[in-house]
Amino acid sequence: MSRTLFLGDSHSAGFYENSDGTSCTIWDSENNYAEIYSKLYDVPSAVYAMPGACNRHYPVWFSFLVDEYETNTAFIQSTYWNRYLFAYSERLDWGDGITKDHFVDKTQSETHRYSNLMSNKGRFEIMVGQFKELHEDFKGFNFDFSDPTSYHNVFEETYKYSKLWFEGLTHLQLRDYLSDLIVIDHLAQERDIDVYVWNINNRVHIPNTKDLFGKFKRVKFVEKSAEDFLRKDHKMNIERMHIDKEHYHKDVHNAIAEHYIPWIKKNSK
Amino acid sequence: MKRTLFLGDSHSAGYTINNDGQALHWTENNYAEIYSAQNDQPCAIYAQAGGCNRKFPTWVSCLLDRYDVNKIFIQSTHWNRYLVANDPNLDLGESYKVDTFLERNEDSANGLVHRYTDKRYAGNRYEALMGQFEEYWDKYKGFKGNINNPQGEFEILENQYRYTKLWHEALTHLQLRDYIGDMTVIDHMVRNTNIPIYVWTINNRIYLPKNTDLYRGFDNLKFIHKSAEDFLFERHQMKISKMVVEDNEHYNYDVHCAIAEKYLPYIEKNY
Repeated sequence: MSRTLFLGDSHSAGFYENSDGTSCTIWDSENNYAEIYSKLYDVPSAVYAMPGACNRHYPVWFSFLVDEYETNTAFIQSTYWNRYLFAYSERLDWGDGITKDHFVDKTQSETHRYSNLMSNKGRFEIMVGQFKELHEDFKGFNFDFSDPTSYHNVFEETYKYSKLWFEGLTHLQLRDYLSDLIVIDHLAQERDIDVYVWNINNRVHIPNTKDLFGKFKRVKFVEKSAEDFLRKDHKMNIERMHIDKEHYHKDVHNAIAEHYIPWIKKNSK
Repeated sequence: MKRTLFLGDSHSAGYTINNDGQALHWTENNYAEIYSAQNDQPCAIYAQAGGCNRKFPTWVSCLLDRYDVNKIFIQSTHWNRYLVANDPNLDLGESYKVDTFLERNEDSANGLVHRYTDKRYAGNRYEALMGQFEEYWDKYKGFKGNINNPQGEFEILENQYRYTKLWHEALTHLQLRDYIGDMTVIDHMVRNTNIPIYVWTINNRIYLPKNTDLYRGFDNLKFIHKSAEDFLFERHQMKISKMVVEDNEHYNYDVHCAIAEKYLPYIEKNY
């Protein structure tokens, strides 16, 4: 039987923080729209998710899952654009020969659950966000054609600063985002998989510009966030339904599973 | 008549230096233009000194929008290159178009070759190629991030951009993923066409990964694992590393002729 795929961040991984905020877990809570959907509609599913995950993970994750399972439907929770990856290799190599399952961490359950190991066999990979406490204001950029070396201030600034101002908040991030989803489109096309890219709230950016590399064939971008859909169609203000300041409680996950995911399937072209 | 596309860096952009040490572009030292003239084949070249795979999907997209294409040659370049940009609009690229930085240069004298490169500025938007130049190199300082000390990562963020970019992005599997991803995007753009794409290297200092099926195989895109340097040495007894202009990096006219006349036809015939 075909298995439905879900990719995403903490919202897709059953993230739960205890009441005093001293510890958090994934998978152990009921706060997981994907697993609720799977049970509610009796749809075998596989979830690949991790707190902080982003589009830079998704081609590898998707590629891994479509090798593992027969599938015709995938839901990708698009996440914040201020996230990126860095890594480390003991061998200082480029990973030639690395396999798509190198960081896979599988938890067996009714829904097949996958996440990423932080390190494995001499390689390390981690997501980083442009957290508020790491923010530095823009200091200006004075490129001078008569002095092309003036851009070297980009090199000398801290990584967090240049990563934000000279990669993150530019068209380069758009290109990476669309490239990652084109790779997924490429994989989905040959296997006839419908891929729905959606956002859980309005703080997550989905670009209007999508055709840099041609039209998508199997990836469909959902134009209405879960937040907007649930407010308009079900009078739910999910921004007031948190377990912490970011994550939603079970009623929101139930509503996403019961109403929003089916609506996506029915209405996304 | 259909047009053949060439993408690459300075080697594909007719780069040389004159006797005064001045850099020149679109000179006769250009294998692509020689190939075009020899085969009476209309071509389009999109190239730039320092060009790299992070540019190539955008360039292919621009050229496919403009031409009916019969084949594509991509000169794979050094992996120590990356892009930085600046965008005062802070709009995450929403006002960016695929040809925002495209600059068409003067056609070749015989009119057969259309030449394109990237400008650095487009309005107030900026994009530049960077390299891990020797003068910016910092010795590796070690890595303290681990599962028991996840905050170790923040030391990485506080290091200089050039340092962390090298040791924690470039010299890792993340660069492989970007490279394979960029090539997959290009393969995707020509899927279900008869356009072959040949990805080749000019010398043995350019890295070409052996395992290219990280996501899946490629349909139209073929990786050429014999460099021009090896091919010309083995088959034509040419040692191209000794056939360079004054900068010791760029090849003289004879090398470009041999690539056009011998190597590219070899690629087409054997891959």
